[in-house]
Amino acid sequence: MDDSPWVALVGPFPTELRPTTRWRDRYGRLPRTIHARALAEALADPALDSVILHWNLPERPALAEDVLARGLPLCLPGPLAREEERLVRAANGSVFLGAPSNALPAVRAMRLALGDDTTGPVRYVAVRRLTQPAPGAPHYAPLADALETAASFVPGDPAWVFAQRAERAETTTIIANLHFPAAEVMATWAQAPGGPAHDDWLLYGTKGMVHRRDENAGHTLAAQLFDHWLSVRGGRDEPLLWPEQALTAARLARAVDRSLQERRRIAWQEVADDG
Amino acid sequence: MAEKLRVGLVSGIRHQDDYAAFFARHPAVTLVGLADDADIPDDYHALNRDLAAQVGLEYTTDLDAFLARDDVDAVCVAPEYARHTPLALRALAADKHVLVDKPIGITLEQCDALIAAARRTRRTFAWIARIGHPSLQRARDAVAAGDLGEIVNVNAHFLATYGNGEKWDDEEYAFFDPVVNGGGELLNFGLYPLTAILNVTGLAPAAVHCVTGAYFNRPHREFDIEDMALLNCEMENGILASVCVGRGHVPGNLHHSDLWLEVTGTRGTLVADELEPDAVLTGPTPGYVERRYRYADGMQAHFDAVIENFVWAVRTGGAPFLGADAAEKVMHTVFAAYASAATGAVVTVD
Repeated sequence: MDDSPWVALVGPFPTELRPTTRWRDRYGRLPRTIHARALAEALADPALDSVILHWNLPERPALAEDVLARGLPLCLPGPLAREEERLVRAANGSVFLGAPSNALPAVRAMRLALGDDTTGPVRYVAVRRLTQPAPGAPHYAPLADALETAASFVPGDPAWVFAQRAERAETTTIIANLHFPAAEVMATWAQAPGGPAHDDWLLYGTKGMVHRRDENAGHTLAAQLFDHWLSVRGGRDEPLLWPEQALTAARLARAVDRSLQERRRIAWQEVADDG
Repeated sequence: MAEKLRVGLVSGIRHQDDYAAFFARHPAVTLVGLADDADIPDDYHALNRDLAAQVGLEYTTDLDAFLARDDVDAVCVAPEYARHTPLALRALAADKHVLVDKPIGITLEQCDALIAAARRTRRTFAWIARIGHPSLQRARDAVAAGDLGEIVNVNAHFLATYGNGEKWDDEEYAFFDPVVNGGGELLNFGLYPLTAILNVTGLAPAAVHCVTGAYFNRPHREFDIEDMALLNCEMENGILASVCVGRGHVPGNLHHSDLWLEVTGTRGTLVADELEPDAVLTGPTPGYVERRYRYADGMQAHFDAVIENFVWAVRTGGAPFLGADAAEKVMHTVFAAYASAATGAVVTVD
C-alpha cells in the first residue's frame, strides 16, 4: 500500500490495549500518514475513504462496528470473529471480506478452467498451504480460507468436515477434509518456521485438471488481494469474495476446531445452524 | 544354484506380461516356463497360452509339478489378485524364491498368512510396488542424508489416467469384480503411495482416516467399489501424511505421472515424480535442483529396478526393496483404511 498512487494511509490508530510505537516507526515517515489517538478520531477525518482492519480477533469486532456505523467501506482480513459474523449479516453485503484465496492466480485459473468446462465436473480439490507460523492463531484462517475456496468449486454443501492436527519440530500441520456427495476436498496447512512457504492447488475433474504451485504465495496473495480490492473500490471489478463466503469460511473454521477437539467427523448440519 | 537364476512364471493373468519381458532380457536370468492350475476358466488358460507364446515358453497346467522341478529356482507370481496369496504360499512351500505381484493378498487374513510364511522361509520373498523409479530412490537418499532436515509432512498422490469412464464390457471388466480383484482402487493403488512413503521416509502410519467414493467409472459403480480414496495418516513419528489414490481420466500433476510424492522438512520440500529422474528439492536449503527432463519410459525404469533388486536379493541373500515387514506395514494400513471408510472413525493400524 505504501507504494500505491491511489492510497493514502491514515493511521494506524492506537487502542487502549496496545502500543503502536512499532507502527509509528514504520509508517510515520510517510508524508501522507496522519496519526490519530483513537479510531473514533480517525473515522471522523474526511480524508478517510475506507478502512482495513488488521487487528486481533477479540478486539476487532468493536472496531469493525465503529467503522460500519460511520458508513465506511470495510475490509476485514479473514477469518471472522463470531461477533463479526453478526455484523456482516447486518451489513448485508456492504463489507468486503478478505478471506483471500480467490485472488490467487492459481484459483483464477481454476475458475476459468471450470467456466469453459475444461475440467468437467470436479471430483477432487486439493490445497497444500505452507506458511510461516501464525502463533496464537486458533482461528485456522489460512486453512478455512483454503477450504472455502476449494469448496466453492463443488456444488452444494459438504456432508461432513474432518480434521487432524500434528506438532513436530516447531511445525504445526492441520489436514482437513470436506466430503461432498460426489467430490472430496483435502486441504493441508503446515506452519513451518524458516521452512518452505508455498501454495499448491489441484483441481481434478472428470476430463481435465488444473495444477498450479506458487512458491511465493504469501506475497502473491497480498499483492493480488490488494490490487483486487482497489479494483472493486474503483468500480472496475466485482468482489471475488462476498460476505456469504466469509461466513462459510467462519463456519468451516468452527467445524475444523470442533473436529480437532472431538476427533470425529462433524456433520455440516451440526455447525450450519449454530451461527 | 545354476550360473543363471532360473525363473518360472506362475500364472499370466494380470501383470505378468509386464514382468516377463524384463525377466526375459535380464542377463542373469533364464526363464524356464509358465505354469498355472488346470481348473481355472478357459479364458485364463488362453491368456496364459498367449503370454507363454509371446515370451517363447512352454505352458503347463500342472502347477504342483512345475513348482517341484529342481530347475526352477525362483518364481514370479502374478495371477488375478484373488490367487496371489494361495499361489505364493504354494511356491514358498515348494522352497522357491518368490516375487509376487501387488497386492500380496485381498484380505487381511490372506496377507498375514503370506507374511508369516515369508518370515519362515529361507528363500527370498519380495513383492512388487512402484518404488523403483530413479526419482524415488534419489528422494530416499536425500532424506537419509538429512537434506530436508526433520520431516514434518508428507503428501502423495497416485491418480491413474486410465479410468474406464462410462464404457462397459462384460469380459474386460470382469477384473473389476471384487471376487477376482478383492476390492477397489484403495486395495489396487493405495499401496503405491504408502509404499513410496515408507521407502523414502521410513515412516508408516500408526492410525488412518479414510473416505472413499466411486466418482469416475461405471465399473466401480456397478461393482460397488471405490475408484478414489483419501487417506489421512497419523504417522509413527507423530506427523501427518495425506494420500489420494484414484483411477480417473486425467493426470494429477503437471508432469502427467501417476505417482507423485512430496516430503516437507524443516529445510525444504522435496518432490519425487515417477516420470522425472530427479527428485527436486526447493526451499531455503542450498542445492536447489533445476535440471528437469523426462524419462522416455518411466515404467521401464521402475520394472528394471524392481526385478534387478529381486535377482540381486536372491543371489546375495540381501534384503529386497519390499519384503515381509514392508508388506505388513502397508497392507495393514490398507485394511485399516477400509475399516475407517466403513465406520468414519480413525482406525489404529495394528
